[in-house]
Amino acid sequence: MRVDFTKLSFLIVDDSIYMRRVMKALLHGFGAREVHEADDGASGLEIFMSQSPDVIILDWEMPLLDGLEVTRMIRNPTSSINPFAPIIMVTGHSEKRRVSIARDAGINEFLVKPISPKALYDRIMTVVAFPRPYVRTKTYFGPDRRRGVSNNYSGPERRRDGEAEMIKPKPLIDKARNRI
Amino acid sequence: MKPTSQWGEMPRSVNHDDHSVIEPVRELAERGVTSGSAMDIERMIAKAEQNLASLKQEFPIWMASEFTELQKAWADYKADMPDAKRLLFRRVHDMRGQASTFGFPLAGRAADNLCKLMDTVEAVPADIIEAHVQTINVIIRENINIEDHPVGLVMIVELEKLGHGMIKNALLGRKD
Repeated sequence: MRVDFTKLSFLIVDDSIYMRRVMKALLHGFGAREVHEADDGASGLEIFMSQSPDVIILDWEMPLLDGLEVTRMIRNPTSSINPFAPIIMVTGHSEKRRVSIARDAGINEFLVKPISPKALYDRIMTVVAFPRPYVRTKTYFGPDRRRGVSNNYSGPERRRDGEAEMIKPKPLIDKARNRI
Repeated sequence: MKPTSQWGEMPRSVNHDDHSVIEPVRELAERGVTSGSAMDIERMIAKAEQNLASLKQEFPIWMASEFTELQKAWADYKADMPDAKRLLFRRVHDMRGQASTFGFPLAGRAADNLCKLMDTVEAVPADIIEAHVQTINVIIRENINIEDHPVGLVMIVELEKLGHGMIKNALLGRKD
């Protein structure tokens, strides 16, 4: 199984002309024919609304609208042409805190620069071939942020709005028993 | 939520008290995935790598151009121009992400260190920013394009030591 890039359209939104050239070279190498590009968030959003690309490759730090703002607008189910559009955020930011912020804005995949062709291919494969369910709460619309089910989770139940329900940590003895 | 023409009917969703879970949309997978072996994928990746390599001779020119932009943003920051801090951060972030791809990994490390500092420390002293900008300048000017260049590495390690100390202090809430 592989991605058939000839059947998909892409939108690259990055304020660096050089990164856009690199990204285009990689996508064309994979076989993509339809690649749109924008040099800031506002133009990116405009192209998204007019061309409805299949996959969006988005930088974080950009003029006018940054990558997070663009993501939130794309994910707005009342105004977006396609709130399910897969978004791969490609950025120089690598801090865990940043990854969480991007995830909470509604991105599908996160790719830290410098990018390798394989890492880019893998992210595209993931969003195209293995789409995650989407979740809608009062405060969030986007891909399910839970990639797996953890029986050991403790902390706030974040899908509930208002007062967060706390999930108490399981005693260690229970964990140990489960392993036996 | 209104259905869109592209997606036709909205995908099926399961409603809970406080959230809905919407089934994954399969349209893209049906259109954009085809049969292929691991070797097919390797060939596609190799072609992409080849395309990237064909741009290689332009990388030093691109880096010089990116550095000019960084230098401008730094000059605006020093001149206290409006929005200069945000613009400088964006330029440093660009350099952080691109330098390794363009064959200047040590410039990427210097930019990474400065990005982390600007992201954590309330007011990074001007001489510290200047030291990072000048280090990046030297790396590009001298075409230092290997990760273990002895002089380049010494400069970067010093900046990183400094950066770690300042970030640690900032996180501890100290003002020294």
